[in-house]
Amino acid sequence: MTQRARLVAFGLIVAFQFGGPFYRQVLHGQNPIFKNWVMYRGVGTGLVEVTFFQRDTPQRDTPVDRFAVLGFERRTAPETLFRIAGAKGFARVTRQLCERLGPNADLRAHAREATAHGWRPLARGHDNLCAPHDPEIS
Amino acid sequence: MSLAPHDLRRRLVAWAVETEGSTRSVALIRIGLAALLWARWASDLQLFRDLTPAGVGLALVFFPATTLMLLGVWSQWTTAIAATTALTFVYAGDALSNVYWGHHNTFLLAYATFLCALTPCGRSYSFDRWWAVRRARREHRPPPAERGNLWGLRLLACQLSAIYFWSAYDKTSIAFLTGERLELIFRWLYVGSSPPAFPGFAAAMPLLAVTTVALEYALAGGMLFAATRRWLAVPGLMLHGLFYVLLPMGTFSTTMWCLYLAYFDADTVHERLDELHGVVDA
Repeated sequence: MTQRARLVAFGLIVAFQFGGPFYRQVLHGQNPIFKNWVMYRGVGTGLVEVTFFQRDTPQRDTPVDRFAVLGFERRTAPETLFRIAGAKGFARVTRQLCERLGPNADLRAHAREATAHGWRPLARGHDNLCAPHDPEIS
Repeated sequence: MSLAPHDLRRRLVAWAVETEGSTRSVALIRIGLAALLWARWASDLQLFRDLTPAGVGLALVFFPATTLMLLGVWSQWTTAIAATTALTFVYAGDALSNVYWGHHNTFLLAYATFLCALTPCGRSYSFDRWWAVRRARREHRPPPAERGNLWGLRLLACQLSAIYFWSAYDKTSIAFLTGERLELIFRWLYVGSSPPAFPGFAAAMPLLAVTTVALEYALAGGMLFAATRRWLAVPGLMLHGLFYVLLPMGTFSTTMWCLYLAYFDADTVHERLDELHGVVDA
């Protein structure tokens, strides 16, 4: 290979290395031949952070361990209980807890969902989530 | 040191495509990449997994090519065949085998193998080398020099810098620098839906985020120059070590470690290896 040919090939390859991500990340092109270097973007989006508690009296709240109530240990709990995803996942876990806690349970929660634009509140602890209608759950 | 444009251009061209140096670095990279190719793909390509003509065909090329690449038999050719196979997985894996192999770690592995094939990667630590030395001995000649044009090594260094730069660019946003994105990654992987119970979790995230971005920008440019490389190499290796331990990285971190050899002066690596082997005044 001549030096000139090698130089041309070198230029083309470096253009691919730097220009490909420029095309994908700056110009927002979609051609998959070119690679972007965007890693772990979107990981965690949809995750719900939640603390459940039971209202025993107007002045007294007792924390609810969702793992213990549903008969699991934290390290062996199902994925969907460890990482509650989205409002639907939150509603499903809430339903399971209400079933397990019985008909008179007053289950409340502080819950928020991670979105691409920050945290979105799902429940602020005002309402009994086991009541026939759970207006806080969207 | 002259910084006139034509001098700069001359030096850049010399650095890029005219450097002759020791081939030990590229040989070590060849061996490392062959092992990483197995780590990533060998179990997916066992024959019983996909008995379609495409699956069997890819496996029957992959295993012999990577084995010969590791051993250094017809090294440049077998590395090129291994690279072609790996790039086929990356770009056509989902069409051929219904498996998506286009992730960053697999792309880097395949592409680095292609760049390695542009170098005389069999002139050191290979059967090719062993046969050449024996041939020279039979013909009463000195053994051939372990030297060659290192433009492929330069391209590997440029690729690493491109990764650092564009990865840092992606993180240069309010969402990342405030620690929000990093916090979500750690919550997803470690904490789940319970509030984090580690003291200092919230405060540590912005600090970690800013440090990561600053280090990646520094590595992008600084690893190309000897004066800054000496300060950045260890933090860079540690960064990938941390990624490997903390995040699901696949082969990415180990590939980056292996490719760090491309940043270092090949003749210095050769001298250090001579020291390691106990060779005096090589």
